[in-house]
Amino acid sequence: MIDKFIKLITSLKLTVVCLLCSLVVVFFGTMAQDPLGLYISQERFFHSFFIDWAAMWASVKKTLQMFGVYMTPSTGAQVLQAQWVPVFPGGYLLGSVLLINLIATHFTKFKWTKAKSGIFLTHAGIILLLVGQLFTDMFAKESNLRLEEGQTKNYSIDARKNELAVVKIGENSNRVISIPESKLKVGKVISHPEMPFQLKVTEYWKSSDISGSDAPGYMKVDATQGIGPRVYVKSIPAATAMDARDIPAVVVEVLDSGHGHGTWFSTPSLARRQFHHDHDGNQWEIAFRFKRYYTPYSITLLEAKHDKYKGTEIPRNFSSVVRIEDSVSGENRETKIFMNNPLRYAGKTYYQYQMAAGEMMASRGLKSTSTLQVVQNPSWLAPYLGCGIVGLGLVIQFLIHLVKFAKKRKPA
Amino acid sequence: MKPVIQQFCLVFAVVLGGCGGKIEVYDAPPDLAPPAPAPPSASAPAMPTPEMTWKDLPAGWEEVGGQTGMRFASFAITGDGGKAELAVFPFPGPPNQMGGEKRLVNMWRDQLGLAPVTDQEFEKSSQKIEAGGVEGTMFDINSGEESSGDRIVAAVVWAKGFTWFLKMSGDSALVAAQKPAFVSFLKGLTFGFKMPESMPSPQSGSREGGDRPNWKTPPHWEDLGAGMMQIAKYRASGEGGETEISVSRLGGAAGGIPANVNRWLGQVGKPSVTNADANALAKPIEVPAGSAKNVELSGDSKDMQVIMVSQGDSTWFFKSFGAKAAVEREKAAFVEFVKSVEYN
Repeated sequence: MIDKFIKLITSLKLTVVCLLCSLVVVFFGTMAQDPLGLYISQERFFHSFFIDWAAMWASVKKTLQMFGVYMTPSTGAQVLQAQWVPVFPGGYLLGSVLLINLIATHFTKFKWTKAKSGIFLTHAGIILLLVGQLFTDMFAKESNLRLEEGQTKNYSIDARKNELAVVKIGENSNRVISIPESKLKVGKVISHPEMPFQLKVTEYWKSSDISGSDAPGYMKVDATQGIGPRVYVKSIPAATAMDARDIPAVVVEVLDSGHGHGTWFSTPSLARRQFHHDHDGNQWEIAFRFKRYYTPYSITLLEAKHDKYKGTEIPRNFSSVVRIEDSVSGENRETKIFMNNPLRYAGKTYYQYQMAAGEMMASRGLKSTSTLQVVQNPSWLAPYLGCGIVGLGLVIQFLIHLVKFAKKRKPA
Repeated sequence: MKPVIQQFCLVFAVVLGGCGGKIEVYDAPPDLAPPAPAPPSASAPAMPTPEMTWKDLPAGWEEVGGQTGMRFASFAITGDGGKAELAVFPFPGPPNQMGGEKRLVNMWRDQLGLAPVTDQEFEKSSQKIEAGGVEGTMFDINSGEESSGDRIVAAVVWAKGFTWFLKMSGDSALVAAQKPAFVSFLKGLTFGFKMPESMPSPQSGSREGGDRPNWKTPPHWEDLGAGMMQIAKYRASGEGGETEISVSRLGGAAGGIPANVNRWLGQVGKPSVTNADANALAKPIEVPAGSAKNVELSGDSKDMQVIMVSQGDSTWFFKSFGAKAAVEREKAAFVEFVKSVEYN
C-alpha cells in the first residue's frame, strides 16, 4: 500500500498532469479577473485547494465570449454567495503535489552524478520557486499609507484585512490586542488572557453601508451605547473592484465580571469613534478598524504633487516628498517617491499609489493627500534566485551534453 | 524514505495551518495627532469654486445638510412611494476626466447590485436633457421591477468648467414618480462659479497669459474681455450665426498637438483619432512670427478653427468656435487677426 502510494507520488505522469492542470488554472484564473476582479480570482483559483463551480463558470463564460458566445457575466457577489462545489484542483493543491512529487522523486529515483548536476540544479530552482511563492502568500503584507500634507504616521493599514482592536492606553505606549475579523461570529464570546473583560458579538455585517437616517434598505442598529442608537446600517454585496474594499460593521457587548456593560456599534468607516471601557483604573479603547501595521519609525508627507502636461488634463507625474524619522537608527532624511522610484526602508517598499492633489482639492479648500502602497515580502528574493538557479542548471546540463557530443564526434 | 516524506507533509501542514485567524498582541506607540488645518497659502493656486442655484423646489423635496465634503447639496424627497434623496456633486473638468459616462453608469449599476452595462443597454438607459440652459445626459437605472427595489435617475452636466452629477436614488416607485419633477428641476438650474477673493477678476488678465500684445481686430468683433485661462475673447455675429474667438497662451508645447486636437474633436462631438491622424489634421500656415499650425474641425452642429503659434517658450492658441456658417464666414478675418499679432 505504502509502496503504491510512493510510486504514485513519484510518477512522471503525476508531474505532467499537475503541469497541465496548472496551465488550465492559470488560464481560467486570468480570464476570471475580468468579471470577478483580482482578489476574488486569486482567492478562488490560486489561493485555494479546489476551484469551486461558480468561479469556474464565471471564467468559462468570459472565455466563451472570445468565441462569440455571449452569456450574462457572473458578478463577484453571485460567486461569493453561491454554494461551494469543488470542480477542479486549485493552485495550492497543484503546487503542493508538484512540490511533494519533485522532492519525493529525488529521494527515491534520482542518484547524484556529475552528469546530472544540471538537472539537480534546475529542480532545486523549481523547488525554490514553489516554496518562495508559498512563503509570499503566507508572509507578504500589502498595506496602504495615506497621508495629508503635513501629517505624520507610524503605521500603515492593510489593503484587505480588518481587526477589532482592543487597546489598553498607556503613558508612553499602548498595548494592542488585535482580534482578526474571522473571529467575529454572531453569538461568539471573545476572551484573551490580557483582556480583563470579554466581548460578545451580537451583530456582524461583512460588507455594509451606514446612514444617519432610515433611508430605504437601512435598518436600525441594535446598540445602546455611543453612536450606535443613531446609526442605520445596510448589508451590501461584497466589493469586487480592484480599488474597493468591503466595509464591515459589528455590534459587541462588553461583559465585565459577568455583567453586561452595554452594546456598541463599530465600523472601520467610523474607526475614530472608538468606544471606551474602564477597568480597574485602566482605560481601554475598542474599535473595529482596518488592520494596522505599526513601524518603529514615522513618515511625514511634506508635499504631494500632481503634475499635468500644460494645457491638458493628461497626468505627467505623481510624486510625494516625505521625511522619514527613525529614533532607533537615527535616520532622519527627506526623499521623493514617484513612479518607478519607491522608497525602500527597513524591509518595506513604499510605492506611489494614489493621489488627490492639485486643482480638485484646492477648489474645495482641502489638503492634498497621497497614498503610498507599502509592500513587505520577506521572500521577495526567492523568484529571482529560483529563476537564476533554473537557468544555470539548464546551461550546465546543456554544456555537459555538448561536451559529450563533441567528444564523440572527434575522429579516432 | 518514508519518514522524510512524512516529515515534509507534517511541516507543510503546520505551516499552512499556522497562517491567519490568531489574536495578536503587541505594543504600539500612541497615535500621532492629525495635522492642523493649513492656513491659506499665498502660493497655492486660487481656484474657482462651483456655484449652482435653483428655482422653487418640487413638492415633497427638502434641502438637507447643505454643503459637506465633496457634496454640494442634498435634498430629501418624500412621497407615497417611500423615500429618496438627491445628491449633487460638482467636479472640476469635463466628464471624460471621470472615466466617461459608461463607467459612471456601471458604478451606479454596481450600487444597485446590477452587472455592468452592455453598449446597447447603455444607449437605452441614457437620454439627452436640458439642465440650466446646457445639454446634459440623464440615466435611468432600475434594480428590478418598476414597483419594487431601488432606482437611480442621474444627470451628468458639463457647465462652467465643472462636471455636475445630480443623482436621485431611493425607492423605485418614488424615484419613477419624481422623474418629471427632476427633469423640470434640472431645467430651472443656474450653473456658475465663484472666484476666490484673492484671485484677480477675469477681466484683469489671464493666469498664464500676461498682457495682451498689439493686434488688429475686425470692427464687427465684439470684445468680451478676458476669460478663465484666456487673454482675450471676441464674438463675431452676422448672417449664419455667431462664433467666439479666444486667445490663450500656455507654456512649452502645451501637451502636444495630438492631445490638443483630440480634446477639440471631443468639443465638436467627434471621436478621438490616432496621434498620426491628429498630427495630419494640423496643417502648417504662414504667420509673420514664425511657425504655426492650423486645425479646422467640423462637428455636427458647430465648427472650430484653431491656429497654434509657437513663440519663445510658449504656445499661443487662437480659436474660433461657433456655428458652422459663422466659422466659415470669419475664416479670412480670423487668419488676418492672427497674422496681425505683435508678440512682446
